[in-house]
Amino acid sequence: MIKMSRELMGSSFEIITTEAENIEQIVAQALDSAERVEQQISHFEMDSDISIINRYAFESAVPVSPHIFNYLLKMRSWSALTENGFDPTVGKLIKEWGFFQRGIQHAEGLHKPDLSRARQIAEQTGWKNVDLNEENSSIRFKSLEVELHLGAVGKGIAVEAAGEFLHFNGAASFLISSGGSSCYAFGSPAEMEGWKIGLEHPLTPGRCIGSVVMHDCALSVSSSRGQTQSDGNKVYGHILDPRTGKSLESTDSVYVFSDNAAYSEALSTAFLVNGASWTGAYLRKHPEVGCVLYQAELNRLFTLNILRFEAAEDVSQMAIWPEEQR
Amino acid sequence: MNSFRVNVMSRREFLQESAMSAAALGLTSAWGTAALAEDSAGGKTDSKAEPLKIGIIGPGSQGQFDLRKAIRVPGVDCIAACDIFEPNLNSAKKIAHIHDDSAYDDYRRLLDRKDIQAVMVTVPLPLHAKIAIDAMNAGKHVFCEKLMAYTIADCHKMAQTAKRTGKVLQIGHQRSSSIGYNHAYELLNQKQVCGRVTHVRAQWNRNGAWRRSIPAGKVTAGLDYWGDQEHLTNWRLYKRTSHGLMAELGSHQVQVVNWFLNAVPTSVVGVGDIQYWKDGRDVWDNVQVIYEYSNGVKMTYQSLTTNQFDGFQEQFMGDKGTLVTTIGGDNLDKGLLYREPKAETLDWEKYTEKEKGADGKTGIILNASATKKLNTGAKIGQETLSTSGDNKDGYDLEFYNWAASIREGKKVFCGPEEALKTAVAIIKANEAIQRQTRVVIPEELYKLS
Repeated sequence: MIKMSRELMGSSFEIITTEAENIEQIVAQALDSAERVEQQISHFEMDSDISIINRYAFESAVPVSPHIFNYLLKMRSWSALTENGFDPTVGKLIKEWGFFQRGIQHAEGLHKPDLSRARQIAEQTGWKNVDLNEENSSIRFKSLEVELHLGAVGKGIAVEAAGEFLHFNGAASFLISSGGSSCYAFGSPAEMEGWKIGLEHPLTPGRCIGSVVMHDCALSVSSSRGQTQSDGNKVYGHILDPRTGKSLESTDSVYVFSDNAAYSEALSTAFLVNGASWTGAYLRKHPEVGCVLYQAELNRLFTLNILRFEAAEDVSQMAIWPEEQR
Repeated sequence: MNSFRVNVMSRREFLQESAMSAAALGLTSAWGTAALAEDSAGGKTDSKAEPLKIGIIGPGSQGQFDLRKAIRVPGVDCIAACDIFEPNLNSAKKIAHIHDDSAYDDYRRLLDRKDIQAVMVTVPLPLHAKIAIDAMNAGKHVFCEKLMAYTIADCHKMAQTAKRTGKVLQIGHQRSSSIGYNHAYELLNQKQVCGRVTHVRAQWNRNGAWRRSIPAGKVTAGLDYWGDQEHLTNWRLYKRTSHGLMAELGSHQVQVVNWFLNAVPTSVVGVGDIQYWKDGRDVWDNVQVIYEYSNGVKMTYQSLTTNQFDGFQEQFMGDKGTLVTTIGGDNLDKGLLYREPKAETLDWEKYTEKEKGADGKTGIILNASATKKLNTGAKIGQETLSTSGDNKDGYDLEFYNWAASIREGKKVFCGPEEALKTAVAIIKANEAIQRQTRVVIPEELYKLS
């Protein structure tokens, strides 16, 4: 096995492959393609496509590279599919809440945002306030409040780029992981059915709530507790409801499987925002998507459309997907 | 006709009156000597001036400069200050004699103060919009340094907030308040001294790194935003917090050109890169842009950090002459007019001083009173005009104007509408450089909604 990693998007981006001719060179180039994605989408890189769009796209169309434009079209469709539970146009909302710094797990001393302001941002964002012109691959913001923030979907796009490169260059089996929250598994290591992946507990690093065997699919992990802030009284999680501007109360975590890492990322956010009942309905309509839902407070989990899942011994696996709106 | 100009006209009329009432006249190389502080403030004298209590948010180097100017306006009293860098806060306290209990490192505490009517927002660019909007929503009038805001959307939001709250919002393009520049505007537009202007050249060239050494002192808040003191001190050098030379220097000239031409750019091309100062900055150390204006005029603009030849100036080039405007010593504004060989001699030219440039061309030194005297039939004397030994430059008058706007509802010389036009042109120029393409600027961007 070959393992190579690079520091990308504020965390470790890792590729594991089985041995093959020239594989190290191919993996290095795959990491380059992920790095190129970072340069295109990073909010911290001022010359990235996304930063340029955010600086200049208000009421005047900014051309976008085709790769990113295609993802913008995809994201718009994912927002529609999730009834805007996923919405990458709410960058200002994330800033208003202060969840914008890189690599900060928890911060004290949150200045709780003005909820009416958060609501105002929420009302004036969304794809209805964004023009995507397919004729010339350009984007224009129609509202003062729109700002793109790809969030975890960006990691997914980078994972996909690396995966496509490896696949195109004949890598037979590989596992790509971005910061441990987004991954893509292709093929399987020798004498295995696929890549065995442990699902980490949202609050206790190192502890697993279960494991799955993955091949040819992507996984995204999302938890409102993944990044938090406190105002001294209450802890607020980083998952925000794009429709109300509020921070999510839920302490649930979701592990979402699909055929595309970026899509998994969009869904994992939307599933938390839209709640268990909505998620259950979505999964029943979309059998190509699988999900593990873990409720940390009750130490229990639920699965839908998942094969080859094994729960950890100290976690209760429930038979029936929860229907109550949490 | 631009509504902003109506205001300039009324100010011009006032200047004409004040020049008439002042018997002494002069032709000095500096212009703008006719400014009368009391009259600029709306006819109030020191003792009668209504008290205006202000606070300052972000008294860095420019903020401290502004603060000194602002508190010289009769009746203006700065009673509170806010800064996250302790030495800046201490300087502001010293300059304006502010009490310890009115010195903050969280601007929201300053905005909570009910006894403060107006605030000066002199923080780094990316914070302009947020703080100015919060201030207006808290019922304060605002003076905000230029550039208006980091994004065009934020500029529009500031303008909307000013409209909704009815608060005064003035942006610090101080040339709009300068007597000299207003005089030049009049010469160019009413007197047509350059004939039909077809081209403009403007520049701000310096020779220096534009980098500041990191001062000793404590940063008491906000480092989560800035990252480290380097990014706070040298915020102008990083694209995340700065629009670089175009915003920090170029916006002064673009504001003047938009104003003088009564027009706005419709497209822009440009180049810029880090050619010389490869010291970790990511803003370009040299920029060259070409604007096309709605009236067909082309403007070339350059800002360098490796050669200071000709410093900063604007050159308006018409079929009858070239008008050069700049700022001379003591911050007083200065202008030169070069008539084209084929142009007729102006009837007031004989009253003016002439200066021979290094290139052998003769320039007419512009003076705010030369044409006025002709209008009123007065003879030109030789004395140097000095109303009170206290000349006012664009910065001074900017704050006189701000105070008068707050007290008496006078229109500000550089309000949201004017400042927005500049910000759009600047931000779009950077977009053209960044994207290496010609950027067309939609007309709607310049319009306040």
